[in-house]
Amino acid sequence: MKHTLLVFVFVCLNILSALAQTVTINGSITDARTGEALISANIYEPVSFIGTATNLYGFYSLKLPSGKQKLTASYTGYQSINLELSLNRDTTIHFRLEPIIELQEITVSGRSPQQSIESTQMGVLQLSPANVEKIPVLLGESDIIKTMQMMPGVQGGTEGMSGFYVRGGGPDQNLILLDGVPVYNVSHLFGFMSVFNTDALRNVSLTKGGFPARYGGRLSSVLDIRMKEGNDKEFKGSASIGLLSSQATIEGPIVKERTSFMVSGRRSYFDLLTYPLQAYYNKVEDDDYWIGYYLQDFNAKVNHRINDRHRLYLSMYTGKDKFYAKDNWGNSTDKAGLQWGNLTGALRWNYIMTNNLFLNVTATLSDFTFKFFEDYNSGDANSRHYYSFYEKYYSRIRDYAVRADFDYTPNHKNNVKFGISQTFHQFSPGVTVSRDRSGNSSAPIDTTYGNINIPARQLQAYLENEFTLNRRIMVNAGLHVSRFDIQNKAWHSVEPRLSARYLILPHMAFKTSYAYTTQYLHLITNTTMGLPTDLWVPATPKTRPQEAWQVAAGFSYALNNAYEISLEGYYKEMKHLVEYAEGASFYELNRGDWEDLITSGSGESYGVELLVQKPSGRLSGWAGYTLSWANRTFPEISFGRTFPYNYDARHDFTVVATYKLSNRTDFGANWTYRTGYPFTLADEQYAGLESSFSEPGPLRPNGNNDIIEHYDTRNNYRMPNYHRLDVGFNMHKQRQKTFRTWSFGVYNVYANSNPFMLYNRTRYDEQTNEVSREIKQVSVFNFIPYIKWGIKF
Amino acid sequence: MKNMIKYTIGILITTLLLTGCEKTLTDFEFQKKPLKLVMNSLLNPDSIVKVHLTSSMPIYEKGSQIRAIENAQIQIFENDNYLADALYIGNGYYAAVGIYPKHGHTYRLEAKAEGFPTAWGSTVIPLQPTINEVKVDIQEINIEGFEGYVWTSKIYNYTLNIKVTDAQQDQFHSLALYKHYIRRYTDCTYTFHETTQEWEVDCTDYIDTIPSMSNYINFKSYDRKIKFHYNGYDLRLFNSTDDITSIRAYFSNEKLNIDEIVIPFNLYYIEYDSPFDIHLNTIDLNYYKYQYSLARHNEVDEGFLSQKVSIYSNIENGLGLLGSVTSTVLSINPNESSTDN
Repeated sequence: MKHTLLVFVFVCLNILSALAQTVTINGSITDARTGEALISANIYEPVSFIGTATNLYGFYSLKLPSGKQKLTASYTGYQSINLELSLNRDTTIHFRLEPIIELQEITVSGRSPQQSIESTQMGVLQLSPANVEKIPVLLGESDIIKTMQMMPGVQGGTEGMSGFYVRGGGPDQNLILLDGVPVYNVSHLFGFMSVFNTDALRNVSLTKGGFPARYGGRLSSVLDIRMKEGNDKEFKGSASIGLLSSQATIEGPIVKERTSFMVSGRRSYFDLLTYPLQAYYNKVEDDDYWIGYYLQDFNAKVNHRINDRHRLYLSMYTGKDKFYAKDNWGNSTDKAGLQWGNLTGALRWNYIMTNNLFLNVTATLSDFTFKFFEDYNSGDANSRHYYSFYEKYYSRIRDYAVRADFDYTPNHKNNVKFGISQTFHQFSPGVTVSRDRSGNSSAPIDTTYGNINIPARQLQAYLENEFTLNRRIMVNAGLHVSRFDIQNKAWHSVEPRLSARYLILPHMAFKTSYAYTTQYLHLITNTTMGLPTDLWVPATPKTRPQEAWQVAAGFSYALNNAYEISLEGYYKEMKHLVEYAEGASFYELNRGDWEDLITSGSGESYGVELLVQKPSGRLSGWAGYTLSWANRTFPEISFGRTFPYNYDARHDFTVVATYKLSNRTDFGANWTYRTGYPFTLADEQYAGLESSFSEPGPLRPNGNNDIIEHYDTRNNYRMPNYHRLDVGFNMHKQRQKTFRTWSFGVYNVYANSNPFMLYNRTRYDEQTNEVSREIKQVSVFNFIPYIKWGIKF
Repeated sequence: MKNMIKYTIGILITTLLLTGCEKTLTDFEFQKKPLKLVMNSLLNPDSIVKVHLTSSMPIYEKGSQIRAIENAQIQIFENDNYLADALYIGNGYYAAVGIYPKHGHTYRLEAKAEGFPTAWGSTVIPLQPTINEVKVDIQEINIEGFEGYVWTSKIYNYTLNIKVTDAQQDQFHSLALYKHYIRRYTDCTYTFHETTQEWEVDCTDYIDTIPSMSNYINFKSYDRKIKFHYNGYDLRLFNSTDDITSIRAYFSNEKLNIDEIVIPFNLYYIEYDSPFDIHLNTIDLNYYKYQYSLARHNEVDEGFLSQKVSIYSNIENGLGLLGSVTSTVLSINPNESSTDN
C-alpha cells in the first residue's frame, strides 16, 4: 500500500510540474489515400526530439515552446512531412501521409526501430495485418494470431492451433480486444483458425509485459486489434478464394471525407462442396442423412466525422462455427448440432475537448456462446404415439460495458492518460435445457438446470503519466484500481505499474518495468488443447481472482533506423490459478457445483527473449530466440509437486522473412525450431489395493484396477523437438482497376514429422507370450501445399 | 449428447490424422528409476491387520514383473505407540494375528526391506456409521408396450438418512445393496441346422441379484453428495445429469456442513417384494481419495487429449495405499414404509 501511494504521489507531482509558457499543437495523422487513422505515428521537433505519437484514434497533442519551430510527422511505410512553423498560439494541424508505393518495400510493422527505442514500453510487438498475408501459413489462411505465435515469448500450443500462450501464461490470461471489446473465444474450426479476418483489420499490437495502467483484467498479455475504419475518399474492395474459406471486403465513403463504412465477410464451404456427394449417397442408399460444417465471420464499421472535434464510430463483429447432422426416416426427424460463436459491438465517441485534452467514450457488448443440442421428433404431433425431446447444453459469457478514457498533455514533458469503466458480466458456465413430450402425457416435461446465470460487476479506473525527466530518462508510472462484485462479495485490487527507459546512446536504450495485475475471470479446461468447451467462470466468494506480478529489464538498439535489436529478461509469478481437479470434466458442471470441481495453484515463469527485427524494406521480417521456463504447482495435482507448464519450451527459435523480388512477385519463408512440449507418461506400475484386498460388502473387484500405472509428476517427459519450414510465393498483376494476387506455398516443406500427440501402446507377441510397450507419435500437417487467389479493386 | 461431442471431435481428429502419420519412437529415452516398495492394506475393525508388500516395476522394461517382497519387517504403531510386527504368511502377504484396529485410533505401518528405503503410511479408523432412518415410498407405474399393451410395475423410492457425527468433519461413505436371490430365469437360443434339418436349443439358467444387475438401482446423480460410483464394470464419475444406475455409490458431506446425509435411490423390479441388505461403509479419506482418483482416471482414460490423472497414494517413500473402512449392514423389508435404527 505504501508503495502504491508513493507511485500515485509521483504521478500527480509530475502532472502539476513544468507548466511553462508553451503553445499546443494538436490534430490527427491519417493515410492520405484512405483517410484511415495512423496509430502510433510520430510527430516531433527534429532538433530537440520533443515529440509524441498518435493515440489509437490517430490523434495527437504536442506542447512546444512558442516561436519558430520545425515539425516532422512520420510513419513507417509513409513519406514523412516536414514543416517549418512560426508558433504564436495554439494550432490544429492534420497530417495526411502518402504511402510509399514506388519503393519495392514491404512493411511488417508500423513502428520504426527508433520509435521503439524512444518508448518506455517493453515487450510490445506490432504487426501490419495487410502485410501478414505475405507470410506463408497453414492452408494459406492468413492468421494474425498464428503470425504472433512466431514472436519470441509467445507459444502456439498444439500443432496448427491458433491459441497463444505468453511468457508461461494460460490462454485465458490474454486480453484480446477487437476495437476495444474483449473477445472471449478466438477459435474457428476447433482452434485451427482464428476468428480474425485479416482483410478487415488495420493494426495489431501485442503487449507481453510492462503493461501501462490503462490495461487491466488479464495477467499475461494484451492483444489490441483495430478494425479498418473504411476509406472516406473512394470505394475500395477486396476478395479472395482459399482452400478452406473465401472472403470479401468493401469499404468507401457514405459522405465523402465525413462518413465512411467497411464491411467484410468470410465463410468456409466444406458443407457446400460435400452437399452433392451427400445427395448422391442418399439417392443410392435411399437415405435422408445430412451432415455439414461451416464457419463464418462478419465485420462491419461505420465512422462519422461530426466536425473537427467530434467523431462517432460504430463497429460490430459476429462469427460462428456450426457442425450439424440431420436424419429423417419414416415420420421421425433427428437433428443435432454443435455451435459456438462471438458477437461484439462498440459505439465510440471521440471528443477533442480542448487542444490538450482528448476524450474517448465507448459502450461495448461482447457475447460468447457455446452449445450443442439434439432435437428429436417422431409421429404426428396430435397423435397419442407422438414423441419428441429436445436437449441443449450451453455455456455463455456476456459483457455490457461503458468506459471513458482521457488523454491529457499538460506540457511537452508529460502525457497523462486516465479513465474509468464499468462492466456488467453475465456468466452461464454449463446449463442444460431439457424438454420431453409424448402424445399420451398431459403436459411436456421442461427443465433447465445448471449454472444458469451468475451476474457480476467490474469497476476499473486508472491513471498513468508518461513523463520525460531529461533527454535520456523517460518514465511511465501509473495505477490501475478495480473492484469486482459477485454474489455479495467484493474483490478489490490496487495495481501499481511502472516502466522506464534510459537512453545509453542515441540509438540504444535500457528499459525496465514492473506490473502487478489481477484477473477476475478463470478459464477451466481439461484438455491439453484449447477447445470451445473450455468454460469461462468468474472469481467468486470461494474462488479467488488470479494475481500476478512481472518484472522485466532489457536493452533495445536501433541500427541505422532499419534494424531493431532487443534483449529482454523477465520473471513472472502467478497465484490463485485454477484448473479442473484431476479428471473432472465440463459435463459435471451441469450439477451447478463447478467450484467443487476445480483446484487452485500457482505458477512462475522466467526467461530471456532476443528479437532482431527489420520492419520494412525489400527484405523484412524478424528473427527471435527465447530461453524460458514455465512451471505450475497445485497442491491437489501430482501430489503437490511442481511440474512444467503444458507449453514450457526451453528453447524457441524462429526466423520470418519476406522478400520483394519485384513489383509483381514476393517471397516469404519461416523456419521454427523449439524444444518439445512436456507431456505425461506413466513409466512405473505397481499392484493396486484391489488386487490384494476388497472393500467389505457384496461386490468383488473386477480386476480392472489390479495394476496401477504411475508417474511421479504431470508433464514428466518431453516430446521430440519441433521444427518446420514454410515457404510461400505471391504473384501480383496490376490491371487498370484491379490488383490480382496468386499465392502458392507449402506448410512444413521438408515434411518433418512433428509431434502432435504421443501415446503408449501395449503389444502382445503371440509367439513368445511377451507383453511389451512402445511409444507412438502422431504427426499432422506434413507437407501441406496451398493455393489462394485474391483481388483488390 | 456426450457422444455427439466425442464423435465431432473424433471426425476432426480423423481428418487431421489423414493429413498426418504415426510412427514408433524407437529412440525415446525413459528415466531410470529405482524400484519402490508398494504397501497395500485396508484396515477394518472386523479383521486382523493384513498387509500386501510388493515392488514397483518399470513399464517399459521387457520381462520385468511385480515381485512379492518376502523378507521385510512390517511394524504396526497404534496412536504412535509400537504395537506389533505383521509376520510373513506367503506371496507377499503379512498379517498380525490377534491385532484388530479400533475405531477412532490412528495406525501407522512401516515397511523395511533390503534394497528399499523405509516406506510408511498412516490411517485413522473411521467410526461406525449410523443409519438414522430408511424411508420407502412405493410408486406404481404403467408401462406401455407395443400395440397398446400396458403392464404395471413398481418403483421403490428410498431415502437413506445417515447420521453425521461432526458436521465440521468430512465423512466419506459407500453404499451397496445386496440380495442373494431375486429371481431365476432361463434364456435359450434356437439354431436351425440346414444339414440335419434339426433345431439346436442352447439354454442357460440365470440368477439375478441386485449386485449383478446394476440397472435396478438408480441414484440421483444431481445429488451433490454422490461423487462417483461403481457400476459393476468400473469406477465412474457421473457424466451427465441423467439419473444413473449403479450398484455402489460413494458420497460424502464434504464442503456441505450438514448434520445428516440423505441419499435417495430407487429400486426397480424387486420381485416378490423380497427383503435385501444395505451395506453402508464409512471409509477414511485416504481410501476415498484412492477410489476417487481411480474413478477419475477411468473417466479420462478414453478422453482424447485429456489430462492424465494420477492415482492417489499415501505411502511415503513408496507407493500403494493404507486405508481403513468400517461397515454397517441393515436388512430392509420393502413392505415396511420406514425403518428406524
